[in-house]
This record gives sequence, C-alpha cells and structure tokens, in this order.
Amino acid sequence: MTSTPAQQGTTSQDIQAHALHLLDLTKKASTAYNRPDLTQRLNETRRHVADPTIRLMVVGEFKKGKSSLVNALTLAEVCPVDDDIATSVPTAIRHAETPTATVIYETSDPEEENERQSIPFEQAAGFVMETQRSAGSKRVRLVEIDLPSPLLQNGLTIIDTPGVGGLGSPNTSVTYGALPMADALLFVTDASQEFTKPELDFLHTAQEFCPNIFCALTKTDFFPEWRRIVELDKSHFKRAELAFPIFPVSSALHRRAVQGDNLDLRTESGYPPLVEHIKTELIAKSQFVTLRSVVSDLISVTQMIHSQFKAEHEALADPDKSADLLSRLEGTKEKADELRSRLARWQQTLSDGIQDLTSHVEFDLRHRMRNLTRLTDDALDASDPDEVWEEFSAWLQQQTANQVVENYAQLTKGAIELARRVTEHFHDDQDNITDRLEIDAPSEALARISLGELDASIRKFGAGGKVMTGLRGSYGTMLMFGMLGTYVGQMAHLAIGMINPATVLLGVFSGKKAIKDEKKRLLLQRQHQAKTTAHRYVDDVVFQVSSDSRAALRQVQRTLRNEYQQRADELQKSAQEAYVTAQNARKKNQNECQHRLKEVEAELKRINTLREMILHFAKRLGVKGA
Amino acid sequence: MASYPPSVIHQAKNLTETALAATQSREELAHAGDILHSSLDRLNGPLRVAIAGKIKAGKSTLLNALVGEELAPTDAGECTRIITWYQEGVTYKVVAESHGKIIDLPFTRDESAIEVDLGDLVAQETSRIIISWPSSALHTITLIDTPGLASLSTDLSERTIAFLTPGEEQAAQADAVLYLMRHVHSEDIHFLEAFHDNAVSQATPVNAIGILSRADEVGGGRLDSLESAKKIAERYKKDQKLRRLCQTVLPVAGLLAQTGCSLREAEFRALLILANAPKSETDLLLLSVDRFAHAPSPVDLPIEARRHLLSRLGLFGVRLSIALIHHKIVRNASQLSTELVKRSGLIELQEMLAMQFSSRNEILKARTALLTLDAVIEKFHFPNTHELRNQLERIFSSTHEFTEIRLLNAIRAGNVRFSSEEITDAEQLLGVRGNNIHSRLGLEKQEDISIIRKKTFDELSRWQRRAENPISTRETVEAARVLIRTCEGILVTMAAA
Repeated sequence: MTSTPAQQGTTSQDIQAHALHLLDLTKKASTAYNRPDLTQRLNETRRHVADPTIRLMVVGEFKKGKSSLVNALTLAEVCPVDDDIATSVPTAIRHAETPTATVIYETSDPEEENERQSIPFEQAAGFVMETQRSAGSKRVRLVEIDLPSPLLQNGLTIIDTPGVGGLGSPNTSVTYGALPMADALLFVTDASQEFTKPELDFLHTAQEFCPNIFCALTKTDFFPEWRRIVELDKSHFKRAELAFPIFPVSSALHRRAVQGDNLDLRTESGYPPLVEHIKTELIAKSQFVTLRSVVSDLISVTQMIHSQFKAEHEALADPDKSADLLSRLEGTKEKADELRSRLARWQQTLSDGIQDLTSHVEFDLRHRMRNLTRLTDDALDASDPDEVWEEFSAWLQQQTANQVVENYAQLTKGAIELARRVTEHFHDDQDNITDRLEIDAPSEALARISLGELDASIRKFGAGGKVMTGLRGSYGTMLMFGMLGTYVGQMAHLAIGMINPATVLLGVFSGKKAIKDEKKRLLLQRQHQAKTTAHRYVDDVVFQVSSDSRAALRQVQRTLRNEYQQRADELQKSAQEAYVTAQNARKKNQNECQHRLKEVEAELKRINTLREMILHFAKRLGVKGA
Repeated sequence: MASYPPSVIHQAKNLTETALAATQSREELAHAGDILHSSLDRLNGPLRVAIAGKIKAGKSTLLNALVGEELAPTDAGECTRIITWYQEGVTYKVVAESHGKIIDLPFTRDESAIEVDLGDLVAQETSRIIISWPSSALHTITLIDTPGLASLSTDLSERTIAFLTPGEEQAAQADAVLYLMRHVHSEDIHFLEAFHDNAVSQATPVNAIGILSRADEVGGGRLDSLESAKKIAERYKKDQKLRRLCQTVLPVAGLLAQTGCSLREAEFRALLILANAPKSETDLLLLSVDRFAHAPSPVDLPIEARRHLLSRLGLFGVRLSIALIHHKIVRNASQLSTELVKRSGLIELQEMLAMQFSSRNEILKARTALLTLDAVIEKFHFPNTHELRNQLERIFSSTHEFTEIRLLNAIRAGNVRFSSEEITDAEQLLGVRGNNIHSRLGLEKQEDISIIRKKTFDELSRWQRRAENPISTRETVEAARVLIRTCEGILVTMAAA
C-alpha cells in the first residue's frame, strides 16, 4: 500500500457509499418488479453494510500496558491506567458522536436478562478497576463505552480485557471463552522481556479460535534492549511455528505526540504502522468480506429479475416455441418447489447434521468432564482437602473452563463444517434450477470477469460466514464474557464453606500418635466431602454448558434454514413468475405482443445496465481489496 | 540474647550423627550415608539462600547487589542457564558438578561479571556451578542463582523446580528462598506452593521472602515509580494468598542497587553534565531510550557515554540521578551511590535477611537437617528406625521454635480466629519482625530491661486471659497457649542473661 491512511479512509468510505447506492438501485428495481421477497433480502443486507461490527480483542498478561494501548488507539483517555491496580472488567469501546457509558451487571441466573445501567462517562473508569469489583453487591460483567474516535468509525469495536494470569486468575478462561467471538486479536506483550511460556501457550490456543492475530510490544520508550526482545520474540515464534506480526510501540511517546501534536514523536512511538495494519488487515478486509457478500446478493437478485423478463421475452419473440418453453419452465417450477420442501437434500443434511453435531458435542463434553472428575478424585485422594482446597478449587475452575472452551471449539468447528455442507448441497440443487432459468450463478458471473480474490469460494463463503455472524450475533459482546463468567462465579460460591474449622487445628498442635486414627478418619471424611463438592460443581457445569450448546446449535440451525428457505422461496417465485409471464405472453395478440416485446426489451436493457454497474463495482472491489 | 534455646541445632546434629553411625559398614545404606554426610556439612556451613523467580525477574542483578559487586552475568535475554552457587572461598575458584564429578573450570573477569568457560561441558548435563569468591557478604550466606521459571526452554524451568522443591529422599537444597516477582503472577503462586513442603512443619512462610523486583520499572519509569512499587508491595503483603506463602513482600530495584554499590567517579561526572545542561535539552533526551542512546543532542556528552549510563542505570536510574543532582540532594559520587542504594530498597532487604534468616539461621538449618533425616528414614530401612523416628518426633514436638512456626503458618492460613490487632501482635511475638526479644515485643533496641520485663508480663497476662476466656474457641486457646509459652521463654532467657 502506497496510499496514506487518510486517502485510504476516504476510498473505503467511498466504496461503502457506492455499495449502498447500488443496493438502493437494486432495491428500487425489486420493488418496481413486485418482488417484496427480494426487497426484504436487500434490506437485511443494507442493514449489515450500514452498521458493521468488527471486534478487536486486546489480550495479554496483566500489567503489560493494554489499557494504555487502547487509549492510544482510540485517542481518548478512556481506559484507566494505574501502576498497581489492573483492569478487571472487559470494556467494549465503540464509535458514537456523543460519549456515553453503560455498565452491565452480572446476574445469578443465566436465563435472566442482564441489568444495564447508564453511568456518567467520567465514572466509567472506576467500574473497570480491580478494586471496584467487589464494592457493590452486584458484580460488573462488562462496561460499554461509546465515544467519537476516528479509528472506530468503520464499525470497529475495541475490547480491552482483564489481563491473563493475574491473581484473580479465572479471568483467563473468560478471555478464552470470548475469543471465538472476536474478529481479530491484538496480543500485548512488553519490551521488558522475551515471551514466556504461558504467553506462547496462550497464543497457540488462541490461534485455534481466532484467525487474525497480531502482537504489540509495548514500552519501547523505556527498555533499551527492545530491539533484541523483538528479535528474540520472533525467533520464539519461528520455533513454535507461529507467524504473527509484531509491532513495537510506545504509548507514552504517543501520548506526548498527541498532546504536542508532534509528528516525529508519533513516528517514534511506532503507532502508525500498527494503526495502518488494523486499517488494512482488519477493517478493510472485513469490509471487503462484507462487500463481497453484498455483490453476491446483488448479482443473484438482478439475475432473478432478469430471468423473469428473459422468459417473457422468449415467449413473445418466438411464439412457435412457447409450448416448449412452457413445459421447460413448468419443470423448473417443480424443481424449485422440491427445493423448498422438507425433503430437499439440503434440508435433510441440515437437520441430520444438527442432530449429529448436538450429540457429538454433548458426548465430547461428557467425556472431557468424566476424565476431569477422575483426575480430581485422584488429586483429592492424595492430599488433605483442608490444606489444598483453595488451590484445588482454583485449579478445578481453570481446568473446567479449559475443557468447556475446547468443547466450544468443537461446536464452532462442527457448525462451520455443517454450514459448508448444507451450502454445497443447496447450490448443487440450485444449479438445476438456475441453469434451466438461465440464471448465471453469481460465482460464474464473477468468474467471467475473473477477479483475483473473488474466486469460486464466494458461494461457499456466503453461508459459512453467515453461520459465524449468526453465532456471534446471537451471543453478542455481552454474552462473550457472560457464558464462562457465570461458571466461574458459581465455583466461587462453592469454594466457601468447604473447610471445617474444627478439624483444622488438630493437625497444627498435636504431634501425638494417639489421635492418628481419628485424624485418618477425619481426613477420609474431608476427602469424601471435597470430592462430592467437586462432582456437584462439574455436574452443574455440564448441565449448564450442554443447555447452552443446544441453544447455540438451534440458533445455527435456524439461521441456516431461514437463509436457504428464503433463497428457495425466491427461486420458486422467480420460476413461478417466469412461467406465468410466459403463459400470459402466449395469450396476447400480435399487436400487444409487439408492444410488450418493446417494453420487455427496455426492461432487460435497464437490468443489464444495473448488472454492468454491479460487475464494474465488483471489479473495483477486487482490485482494491487485494 | 539472640535466640533461645540454642540447643536445637545440636540436637539435630546429634541425631544426624546417630543415624550416620547406623549407616556405617552397611552396603545398602551407603547412599543414605552420603545424604546424611552432606546434611551434616550443611549444618556446619552458612545458610543457603536461593534466589528464584520467573525468567527476567532480575535474579542475577539482585544477587550482584547483595554481594556488592558484579559477579553474575546479566543480559536482556534469558541468561542464567545453570544453577550457580556463590560461596565464600579463600581463593577465586570455579568448579562445575557434572554426573557427580567435580571439574575445575577456567574463568575470566575483567570490568564486569565473571565469565566461565564451560569448555566441553553441556549445560543440560551440568548439575551446578560453584563459584568460590573471597567476599565478606558471602560469609554468613551462600547465595544460589537459579534459571528462571516459565522459561520457554522448559528444561531450564524444570531444573529449578527440581532443585528448590524437596525430593523423595532429601529436603530442598536451599534453607530459605528469596522469591522475585514483578507483578504477582499466578505462576508465582504455584511455584511458592510447590516450594513449601507439607511433611513435618507444613507449608511455612518463615523461610520465604517475596520480592517485588525491578521496582524501578513500575509505571514506565516515572520519578515516583519506587513510591508506587512500595504501595504495591504493601498490598501484596496483605494478600491472603501471598501471606500464607511468604512472610513479607519487599520492593527492590535491583539495577539501581547493583550500580549504586559500584558507582564510578566518571559515571557521576557524566550525570553531572546531563544535570547541568539546559532542562529542555535533557528532557528531550530522556523522553525515550532510543533518543537517549542514539539521538544527536547539543548536550556535551558523547553517545557512547550515554549508552554506558543507560546500561548501568536504566532510564529510570538516569532520570532519578539527574533529578537528585539537579535538586542538590547529592553533590558527589559517594552521596549519589548511597542515595541510590537507599532508594533501591536493598538496605531493607539486607536488614530483613539479617533479622529473619540470619537470626533464625540455626532453626532453619536444624529444620532442614531434620527434614532430610525424616525423608531418609522414610526411604531406607535403618536397624534403629523406630528409635530414630521417636527422637525425631520428640524434637519436632518439643522444640518451641517449630511450634511457633506452625502457629505462624496457621495464623497466616487464616485458621486462627484472632482479631486483626491480635494477629499483628501475635505475629510480632512469634518473630515476624525480627527474632530477638525487643523485636518480638515491638520495643526499641536500647529500652531498659525493666520496660522489657513489664511488656513481657503484659503480653503474658493478655494471652493468659485469652486462653482462659470461656468463649474462646479451642483453636484460639491452643494458639494463646503457644504465645504464653513464648512469653515464658523470653522471661527465662532474660533471667539467664
């Protein structure tokens, strides 16, 4: 990229405006030609384009300068920075013209709607810090902050997370749990030292959940050897077969640069390349992905309208062959009806697939938890719960959370694979119809103008992407941090009241053998009690998680079914319209025929013009996005 | 009147010797004999203090600061790869221990750290390096530098853990540990837990001190960084999890301490130039390390000199030194040196070491020896196992110091229902703030004997009342009895003196 960020910003906005313009034109056409079904689809697409959400999660060990980094990126002092106290509540920052802040509280019942409360913007910081957490009776789960910020204008949401590995360590699992919902992950480490093992382990796991990862190495103004550290980190990446870009930055210098409006300092701060990376690799790319699906929608809508007139045109132009045409169209109509029916192959694939996936995910969870329970039993048998309970419960929480996250990964992977299969089947069947209707599948239309990135995957992308959007949409930023947070909270309750104080000091003060047997009996009793508590906890988690997974899978099913049902309806309507218009054309007399033929030709020309515009736009998009 | 009764170390020695005698001329006990031999050596030697922590916590830097000269090599990347002992020696000597063999190693030392030539030795196969060095600082304490935990070469971390945690047949190699953390990370907690043997005296915060290292880096090196670090350490000190693992947390700026101990006249002159240059110019230089080490500037100090200062003091050290000179708080190299050491927190750490580890030296060593013996009896079949075990149990239950340690642990674990004021006083009486009588009573050193006696009686009757209070729970009564015994012990010691 040789263009400056400023120029880039205008072109990307320009492209978006152009896409919206084309959408409106096509919508007009679909309304004019009396296809409310297509209009509705275009409306949905338009909403998606006009108000995109791109989630960037900022993750790292605690006290690495995440909040300072977020402040530098948003050009606002929105996240509190403190020498000691760390961020303890995730903060989601979005763009808005007027600054507002909302606190969302935790509820004890996961089914219940979370309580939201608007707070004065200046107070937001207080809710985010470690110390404030236990202040009220309610625990804060998420703080949402809206403020005007140039980087966030294109729908970017930056999420500042509590540090991984702090004293309140269950945070880690909450962060893991939120990963699949993020479009990208900015991993923050600092120049004080090379990567540690926990950091690389985290990145290894994160890679499974989030495809777009990049790193910032902070505090380069303070550590003289930061270049060495970058080199060391890169070689660690190489050995671990990871390849994420690393951006050395200094938030302190950036702050100075903004205050004094000093360009040299801004360059020295290292921020410009990071911001550029976010713009090109995250915002532009996800815009590109969105626009790609817009183009796909536009092409298929215009093709369907086109097919109607094409059939009529054929019937009018060559009345002798109209009988042939009619019987062909009738066949097509039947095919389209089949595609809508419950017996269609894609429907079967979808309902079978969901059932299989549900039981697979559930089995996987039970299997994991059974192994975990065995481990806990062994661990408790070998120790005295009085001494180890606190560490043990923390360990159990961590392990459970890890297992839940891994299980969740299975669900996500399975859902995407299923979406791919359903899409494939749908398209195979659809080709039967589109071929007969002489509708070019969008992919083929695009293939003809051969756009670098707009390859055949476009048809696959359509649904795969929609599943993820569906999943993300159904969970939302709020639930990203909600799901696991609930379990962690539950465990904290269990941890209390476990230790029986009467038995504790027995071991402390007496070294006599006489009470050894009694001690042994008490120990066994404690172990038993501890095991029961652990089992109950694991049971509760299994119950909760499997009900959540079922809900998530139902959501996937609904999203996919609605999506393709709508497509099938559209196709059926197109086939129907084509048939009816062709039939009507037959009934017309010579004069009417000629007159109508002219009209239809004019309509076709208009639609072709629109199509040309869309294809031209697609071409431009292909070049820009590459 | 340092500690009382002094006999526990003799008891430990005697018992170890008894066990050792039993191993004589028995083939199958030869290995046990070796272990007991080294245990006995250990009882006679100085206290062994290991310096541990995650990688890059600043372990080697702190070691240098404690010795007072730059011995251990330090680097930006991971540096210490072999467990290295620094002990007092008559001459300068470096040996390596590999597969049970002792190998002499050539070494060089110019201006800075010792450079050891490992020759054909592979780091993985070397169990330790022993550096003998004539140094007064090493007279009472042998310092052990360890490779960092949470290292990416898992191998190194594992060795440190294996070294510091008690094995099957012997107690941990170090009597006490300084655990360095930057911010307290969950890894740190896990490690501290592992270091605590549960065998005889249970987990004990007595032999571990937490150190908030690299304190100068808190808050990106602002001038008030050390103040912030102090606040953080205060908070950690009160943290339940840490309280049961180490007895206190101290902030230390290792680099500042190390350089403070060895500041040179030329370095002071360079700092003077910076301090006397126009403020706007120095401010620009001090903005970032890159500017300080590379940027051209009208300040009359060559870039090499700036780089040297940066490597010796860090950006914070340079900023602090300039401020100190600028505000005329220090006027020459030796004043600056003193001020840096003072601010680094090294003195507090040294005092803590003297007060805690050195005055408890014998108890800690005896404890280690007895734990070793316990493990050996457990593993090998001695002809007189029964007798040895009884003796061991007698010492453990009759030595009041061990009971005190156990009570301290119970208090730290939150198992004793005292009020917070009672907890502070009880911990003090148990020797958390120093093991000698006046520290235990919270009195000044020069206090008159009658005042000491009065205070002891006050404490005694206070805990007696607590023990006899009908609404006190059983564990409170037990705890109060231990404290009563402590007060009585103090009175006995005073009477003897």
